[in-house]
Amino acid sequence: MSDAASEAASTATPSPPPQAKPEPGSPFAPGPERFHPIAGGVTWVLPGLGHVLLGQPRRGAAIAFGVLGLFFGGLLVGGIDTVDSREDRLWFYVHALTGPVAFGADWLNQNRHKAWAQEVGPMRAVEVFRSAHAGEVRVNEPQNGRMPWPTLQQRPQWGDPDQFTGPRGASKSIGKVNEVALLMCALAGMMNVVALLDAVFNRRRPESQLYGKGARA
Amino acid sequence: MTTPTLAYTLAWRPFIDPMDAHSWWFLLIFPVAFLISVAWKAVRVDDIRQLPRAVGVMTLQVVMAMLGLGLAAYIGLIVVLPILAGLFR
Repeated sequence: MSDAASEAASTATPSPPPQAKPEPGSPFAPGPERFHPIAGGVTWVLPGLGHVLLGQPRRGAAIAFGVLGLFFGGLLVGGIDTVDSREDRLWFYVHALTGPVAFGADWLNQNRHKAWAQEVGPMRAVEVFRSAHAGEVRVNEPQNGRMPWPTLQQRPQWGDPDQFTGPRGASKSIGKVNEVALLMCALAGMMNVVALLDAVFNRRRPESQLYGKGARA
Repeated sequence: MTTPTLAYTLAWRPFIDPMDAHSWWFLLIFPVAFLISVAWKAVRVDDIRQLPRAVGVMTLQVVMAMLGLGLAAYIGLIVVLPILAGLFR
């Protein structure tokens, strides 16, 4: 190809986008600019709900599956200790973008699985609020009439007397597993922001107009 | 300690205790890539009926890209760097 021909080809029409866009007459073509702040708000409350309010339940269900799947997948991999507003505060700022479910997980972690424990400080014994270390269990009930609530004890081993009747504290999430779990919950929060922005500035038609009996040609 | 209590105490509790995935954590790329693709393509595709195909393609792209990056890092660190170090020795 000569220089003139190649120059004409490069300036005549812009190259098509990598993903085919719907034509202007298509029912999938974007409509006029609209602003849906309520849809954005409810998307934060429950991922995908904003799209359901906008008449796009399939899209909303897919968003909920993706975002909540990432979040609960993170909890499944890393345990409840993954969402921790005290020990992983910067991560929690991103986790909180997933919505109240992140605050609920953090509340459970702080109030049901962490414990006060006596630790030896530089001058005197201090009470520390922390996750259970490896090999520790949380005891929620007074043991032998003496144990304060809540506290941590060493995890019972084979042959130990059966005196640990309360719930265990969650094991500390560490290593690569903790990194992957933190990342999954953070990705859930970031993907929920994407869904929130899509709901706020949504230009699509309701699915009832696109699919099924009421669909427009 | 009785055996049932010990079994309860030592058992893994989903969503509370971390999963013992320290030896196969890298396989988590598959669910992570799949779920990211679902969430991303759910807001990107114009026709929601195209979602399964778009999700499959993007999941494959993400996994292949990670494999490629891993391979490139392996080649760079294990093959190229030792050769360069030998050249300037």
